[in-house]
Amino acid sequence: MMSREEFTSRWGLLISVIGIAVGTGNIWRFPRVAAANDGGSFLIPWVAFLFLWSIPLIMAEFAIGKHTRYGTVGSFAVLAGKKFAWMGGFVGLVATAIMFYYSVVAGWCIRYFFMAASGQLVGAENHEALWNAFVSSGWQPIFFHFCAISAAALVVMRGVVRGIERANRILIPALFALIVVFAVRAVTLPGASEGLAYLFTPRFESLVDHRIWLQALTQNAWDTGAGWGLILTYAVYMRRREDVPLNAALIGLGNNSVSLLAGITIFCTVFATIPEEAAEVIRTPGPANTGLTFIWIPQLMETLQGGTLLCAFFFLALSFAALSSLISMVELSTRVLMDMKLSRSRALSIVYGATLVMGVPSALSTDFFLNQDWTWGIGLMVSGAFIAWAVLRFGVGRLRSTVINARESDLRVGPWFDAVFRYAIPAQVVILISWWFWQVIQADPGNWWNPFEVESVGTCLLQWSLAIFFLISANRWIAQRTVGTRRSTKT
Amino acid sequence: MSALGWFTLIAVLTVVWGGFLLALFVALRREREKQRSNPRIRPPGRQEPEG
Repeated sequence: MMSREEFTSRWGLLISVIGIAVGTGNIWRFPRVAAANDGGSFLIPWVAFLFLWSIPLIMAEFAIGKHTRYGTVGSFAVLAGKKFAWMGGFVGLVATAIMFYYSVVAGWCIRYFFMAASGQLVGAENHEALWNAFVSSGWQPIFFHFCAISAAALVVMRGVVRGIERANRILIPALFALIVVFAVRAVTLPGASEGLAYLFTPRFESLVDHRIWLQALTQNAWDTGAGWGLILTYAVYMRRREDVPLNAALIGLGNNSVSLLAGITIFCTVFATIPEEAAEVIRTPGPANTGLTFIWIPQLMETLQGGTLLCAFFFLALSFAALSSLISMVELSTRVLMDMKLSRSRALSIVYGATLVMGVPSALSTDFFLNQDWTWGIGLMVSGAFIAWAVLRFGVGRLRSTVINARESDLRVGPWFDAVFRYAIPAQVVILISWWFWQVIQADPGNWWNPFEVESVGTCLLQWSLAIFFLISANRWIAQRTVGTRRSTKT
Repeated sequence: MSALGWFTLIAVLTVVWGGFLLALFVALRREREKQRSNPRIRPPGRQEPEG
């Protein structure tokens, strides 16, 4: 077996994995979802699902990557058997499909950083018109999508230590520093305590509303990076004698700490600057769910002293968060191809070229973007289910005792971990997918089956089926090419 | 802010931020212990020969 790079230290690994977890979902999605779900009432299930979904899945991904030393396809072939390599392929394909449009989102962040830094943003007459002019200009979103994916590819080209670890050692501390500065500024604004009250005061009648629990689970599933296969990919480069459980807890808790900081910042700022309409404004999603960030944040910054600088820093932080996550997606796809005996440069060229092309439709059409976000966003739950299934097939107790609770581990994980994988995660996946589909059926009862609708059950099922059909058809070739004659380690 | 709001604020921050800081503290301590017991535990990053 070829020797692989390793992260230089535990901190190199942790900072890179935090880079996966902390993304635009923490900064723009968390405050919006928390606001729309009664703030304080949302936080209680959100914390519960951190322990019932995110941390166990992060632990499993670390353990799988460390044990198999393969990307998503190879690790499924080793863990569950070669005939299930296609399931790892699906996990990789979902993350790759997300990468195609996430590069566009990263491009938006970069563009807005430059607009804010050059003073075009703060003081603009109509922010919605500015946003619409940008996204409908055609060439601009494409150009900045190219910039984003080129930057990520350049980092991945340099390898794990000189590229990924080094980039994250700059991006993540800078991102943390910016968010902490923002939070301190926000809580010291007059009237900020109203924002804290909205964010932290639960209403007991909301706590029994199933929608709030399901939104809290969805937020955990989407913003911690658990179940995407990304952490599994970085775990391939873990040092042999590296801990799993404590690192997983650090990632989950660190990610949610950043979300809380972002929530405190946004809620305090909104309630301090526009107290009368705060509750309504903060719930407004806007076009492509970007309203809060790209339309409303600049308006908010205008009301603060030093608004131009603050606005530029905000979009810089958002760009850093997006880039650190995009880098991990590029590495995931590259790793899968490298496992198929391609050199890093050749694998990366394929990933880079494919993302350049496949990101263009999302850069040009909001409907296409939303369709992909919907299809593969829900697909992540299937990915999480596949990972849980692979763990069960390998033997959850066996994985726990041999890899998670290995001699070098700093914590001992008890049998609760087995119960989470046997019962809690499968139940969460089934309930969540059924609920999301039910929402769409309720919203459009006559058209939910139509595969050409932007958000429908039909479009999900069609795209997933095509992907699974292709992967199963090519399963033997993919497995052979990836793991060759290596035997599965399943019992 | 009401007493319930303060209680939730303290509880959530204790679990999330407190948990993060505690985990960080334990990790720092364990890492220092590991390095003390085996100074060669931290190999330099190797460049992969694959590409």
